[in-house]
Amino acid sequence: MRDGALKWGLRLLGIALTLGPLLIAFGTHNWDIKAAVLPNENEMKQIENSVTGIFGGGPSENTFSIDSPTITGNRIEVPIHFTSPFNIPIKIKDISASVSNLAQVQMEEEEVNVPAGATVNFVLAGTYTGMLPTNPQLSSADMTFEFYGVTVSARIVGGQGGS
Amino acid sequence: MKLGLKSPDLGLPPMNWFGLITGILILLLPFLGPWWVGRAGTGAMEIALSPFDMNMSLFGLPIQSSLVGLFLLAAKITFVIAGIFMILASLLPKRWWSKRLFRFGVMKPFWSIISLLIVLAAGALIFNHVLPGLLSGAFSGAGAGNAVVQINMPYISGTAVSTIQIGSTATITAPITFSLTGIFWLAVATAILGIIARIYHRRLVRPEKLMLKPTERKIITVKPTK
Repeated sequence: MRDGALKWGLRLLGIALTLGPLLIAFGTHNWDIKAAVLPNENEMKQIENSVTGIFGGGPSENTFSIDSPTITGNRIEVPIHFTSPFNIPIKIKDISASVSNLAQVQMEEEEVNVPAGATVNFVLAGTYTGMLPTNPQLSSADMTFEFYGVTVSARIVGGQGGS
Repeated sequence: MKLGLKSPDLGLPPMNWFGLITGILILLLPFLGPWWVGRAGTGAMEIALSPFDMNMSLFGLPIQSSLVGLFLLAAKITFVIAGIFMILASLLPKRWWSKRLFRFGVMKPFWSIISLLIVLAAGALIFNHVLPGLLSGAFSGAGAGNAVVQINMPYISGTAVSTIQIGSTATITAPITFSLTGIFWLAVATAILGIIARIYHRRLVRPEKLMLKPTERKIITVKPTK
């Protein structure tokens, strides 16, 4: 008799510990399965805002600006000012760009560390032949950068260079 | 091979030493930390999982589910109760309630390990074979061009690289690392010890069999009466 009572008591304890969380979770969320399973809307919104905040507004026309290139023989060096649109530190692993569709330049440093939202200066170098525009622009750039161990390779298409 | 230690030498009543150690380990397991850790990149996404806790973060921001949290709390309470029952049943194996309390807790670590491995393998299967199709469709639908999502997740433990290709404009690559922790292997040791304790407990509480010996014959010499 007492053995049977203990047997059923333990079974009920097991059932209570399984069904209890289900009933409590659904009960406290007005029996809304989605609300019980997923993080609540405020938390989701907070995550969304924070992730959007991390990535900022994304690249804009102010992300890259270039100074007057220097030419030594057929070598061209383009000083670059990169203003990070991200609210997290990133590492620029590689940039190759086309200057006014006339020259192909590449980053010479192995990597450039960019603090959150900061502006860094570095040089892209390559070979150039022909007439140099007075206001050169990066017409397109392939950029590889890393944040939180995630590597992003992106193509950024810019404006045409001046004449 | 003889299982267990005989206590009479120590002047103690017989007890299930394997069960006692298993009980203590069952009691401790919920408080020792995660059994499995998953990482994407270096902090882009982190998941630390055990049958009692789940810590998930995206770029350092914690993500929680109340239902999962309550289930894990219930698992923690179950293990604490199971550990106490195991210790009591192992200390007093001859009591009438011993067998029932022992059976309530002894296989919990074993089934927890099996459940965790099934969840991890099923998760990896879904991420590798179902999610890429859904995400590709979602990215393409959101105007991200012809998006191709390729997720390579290791099953349970290992390292792989996953890629999201958004048309010809962007590629996102993330290394994914999964690993089982030392606590998982302690849980495996607890499960093995639990199985040994269960076998030993059966022997310990088994009622002694009555051995029927053939009746001894006594030769009685009877003197003839006059």
